[in-house]
Amino acid sequence: MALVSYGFGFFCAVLLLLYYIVPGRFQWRILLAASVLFYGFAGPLWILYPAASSVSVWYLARKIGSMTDQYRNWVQKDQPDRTQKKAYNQRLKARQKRFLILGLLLNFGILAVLKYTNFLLSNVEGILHLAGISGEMEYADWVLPLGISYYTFQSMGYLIDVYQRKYDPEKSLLRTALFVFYFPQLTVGPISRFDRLKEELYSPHRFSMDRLAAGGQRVLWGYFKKLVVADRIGPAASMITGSPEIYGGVYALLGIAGHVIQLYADFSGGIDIILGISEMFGIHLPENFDRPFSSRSLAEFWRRWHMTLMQWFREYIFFPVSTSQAARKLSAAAGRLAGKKAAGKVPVYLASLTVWSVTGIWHGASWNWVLWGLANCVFMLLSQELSGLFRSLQSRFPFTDGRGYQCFQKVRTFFVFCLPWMFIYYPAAEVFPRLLGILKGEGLLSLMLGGYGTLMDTPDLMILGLGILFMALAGQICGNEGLKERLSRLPWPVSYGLSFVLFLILLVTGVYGRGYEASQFIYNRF
Amino acid sequence: MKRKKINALFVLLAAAISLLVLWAVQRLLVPKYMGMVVEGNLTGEYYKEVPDHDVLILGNCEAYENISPAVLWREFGISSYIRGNANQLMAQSYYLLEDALKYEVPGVVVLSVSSMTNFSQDNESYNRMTLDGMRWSPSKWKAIQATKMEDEHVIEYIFPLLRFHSRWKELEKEDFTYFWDRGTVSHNGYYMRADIRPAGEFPAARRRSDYSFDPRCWDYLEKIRLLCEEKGISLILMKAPALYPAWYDQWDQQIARYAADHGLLYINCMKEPEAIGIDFSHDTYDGGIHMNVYGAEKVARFLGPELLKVPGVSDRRQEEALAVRWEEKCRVYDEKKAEQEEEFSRLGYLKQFYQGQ
Repeated sequence: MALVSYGFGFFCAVLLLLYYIVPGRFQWRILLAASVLFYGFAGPLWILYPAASSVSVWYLARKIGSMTDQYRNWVQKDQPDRTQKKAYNQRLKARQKRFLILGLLLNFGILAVLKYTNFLLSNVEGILHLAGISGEMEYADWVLPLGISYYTFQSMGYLIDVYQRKYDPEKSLLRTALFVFYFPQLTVGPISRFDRLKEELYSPHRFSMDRLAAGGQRVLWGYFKKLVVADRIGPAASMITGSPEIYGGVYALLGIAGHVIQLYADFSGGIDIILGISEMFGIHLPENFDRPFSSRSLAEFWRRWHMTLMQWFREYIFFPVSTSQAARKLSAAAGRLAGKKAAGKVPVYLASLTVWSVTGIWHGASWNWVLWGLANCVFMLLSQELSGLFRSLQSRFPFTDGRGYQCFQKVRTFFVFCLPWMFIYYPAAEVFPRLLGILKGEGLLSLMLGGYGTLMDTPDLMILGLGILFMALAGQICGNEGLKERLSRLPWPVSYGLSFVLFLILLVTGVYGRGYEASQFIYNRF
Repeated sequence: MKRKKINALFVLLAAAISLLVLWAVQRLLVPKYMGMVVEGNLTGEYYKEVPDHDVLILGNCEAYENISPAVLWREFGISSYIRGNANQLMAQSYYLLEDALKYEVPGVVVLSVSSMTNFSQDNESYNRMTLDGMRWSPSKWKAIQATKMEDEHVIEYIFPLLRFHSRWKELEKEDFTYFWDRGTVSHNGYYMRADIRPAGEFPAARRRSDYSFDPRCWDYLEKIRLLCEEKGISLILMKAPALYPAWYDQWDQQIARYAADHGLLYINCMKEPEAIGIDFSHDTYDGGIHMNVYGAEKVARFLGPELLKVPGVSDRRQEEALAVRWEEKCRVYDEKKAEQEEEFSRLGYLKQFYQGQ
């Protein structure tokens, strides 16, 4: 069931009604049933995938948890000394690790097979061609189950946390299943942590008009971003990047910038919808965006963009890799060769390269995505390496303290973020010629003389411009506070009036219904 | 307590204003069908009528463009109404009949059988023009369910704004002019055209591998027959005069057989051009596909005596109240006809129906 469909609206309305009618202790069961039903709409057999994930994670987490309990009981009962505890713990950890690895292999295995088989086959085919062996591979035509990346990462995070004894495992299979299946986050995330979600997920919630209104406002805002901005700019951006023979030079940059705006409006809009709906049920999911276009460096940008995924990578990949034995050995070797400073950098470099390769491959099963991830990584490491130089330059130029320079940094960050996307929208071999075309300013005159008119008619262009401006202003005005909090501080007639105007704009100028292609959320594909 | 009451009042006020704004926006954005295409008004105009008709004519363009109710009244005293629309499907005709029967029970239903040739709609705008004007009732709901295209949603019929919202870019003067009232575009459901375009040449009718009608069309024809039977209405099947699209002999035979099997009258005007007096070099406005007002009047003159033979249909010109109503209708009809004739003789075309001229 698509998030942009009448059916989804109806589904949520009925579910909300039911949710607040039933006694509190049944609420989470209703959510579970609805989530399974929601998943079933995508294809009844697909339910098996998250079901398998739920059962395996529940069983393995309980197994790991029971071993931890045994250890705690033994400590309490026998009061062993430190050495005994350490020895027991080591043996226990080794046994628990086996269950953890089993869980990781099973769940990431399903994800890898479904998502990366064709990628692997295409690489094997390429290697065979290079070796002079001809022949056609038979590719799999599997369809990725809805939200597989999200629920797999979320449930694996849970299993790792239980293994690391951050919290106790959930005893009930059905409760664990709700954590995996919870329908709002199946479509575009975010990736939640069990310890932060469980309290609200399973506890009863009383109906609150304020909560419903706040959630509704957030949903409206999400649909505004998606239907007024993302789905309006998307076709124009695709026209540019899809017809490089017509739209060359600076048009390529315009196309990529268009795609990036589309991506932001689409993804953050989707997240707003999800968070808003979840809030209506009294469940607060973690934020995924924090005004990323206000960032003054790429590293800051990535801390504010797709935050839950980046946190997951930081916690479960970056830290383990940077403190791994391999990293320590490499660090020691680098220290011997190039000194202490280099030794300190090696674990960070290794972990960063790993994280960004995985980020790339998470986004898409192709080398272009890996290149995209690595390009981001290179930009950030370079920026980190040159930070001393930048600081000394900035200290010599007083204007770098001003707002103008901050603004320049934000614009620069936006374009730096745009550049790696060239690998996604153009074949790798075409990226550098296109970059040269941009630097030479090819097509600038045509663009300035109204060439953009071929991409979109004037009313749509005006609505798009106003929509982007509106998004930027909302971010600027609300600051860290967020739109919801800002609106809730206003007198209700004003808050309601603003929401109604937003609803009206969305209703009239939104790109939906007949005559428009029904478009899925971009991050729905992961 | 007082504060609570004031708050409640504000909530009601906000809700009322919101609904009013939404209603106004919807009213502004839905098409008014007052330009080149007026068919979108035909279905709704029925409800402005005093429901007192002896003959109800159902069908697609062959119904609403080819029979003049004004002539049926003036020359035969028959009070009639056409519930027809562009590409109106058999299922839609059935539900429009069911809908009309809530208001009146005519003596005769004349059904244009050319809509037997296609069961499903090929253009969503035809559905909208036929169904949007229907008053909400179970009949409308069923009509939508039976004929909506795959990507149409019932909710877009309930709230037409969801369908027509993108018209904000193409709003025209007529959207504001006809915001409150659209007036009346038809003459008892008849779409008048007084321009002339002699019949041209049409491609020869292509042979088909299968001449059978869709079983669902037969189902709805049967439903119409049974409904008429139940209400004591005589059903007449009719094929209007038109040179295109082709009406195959095989189709004609099937309809004739059905009519004979059920004791219905079937009139195929294509077989009676001389009796009707149709002159395809004068009586059509689009080269032989549809009749103009001269052709429609001739068809009405041909049909009148046949209709008067049916029990329940009589010359009612002596009924004063009805006569007064029809006098006014005929006056408007004559005025419009004269207006179009003058414009056509002056310009050679009718401005309203020709884009870019």
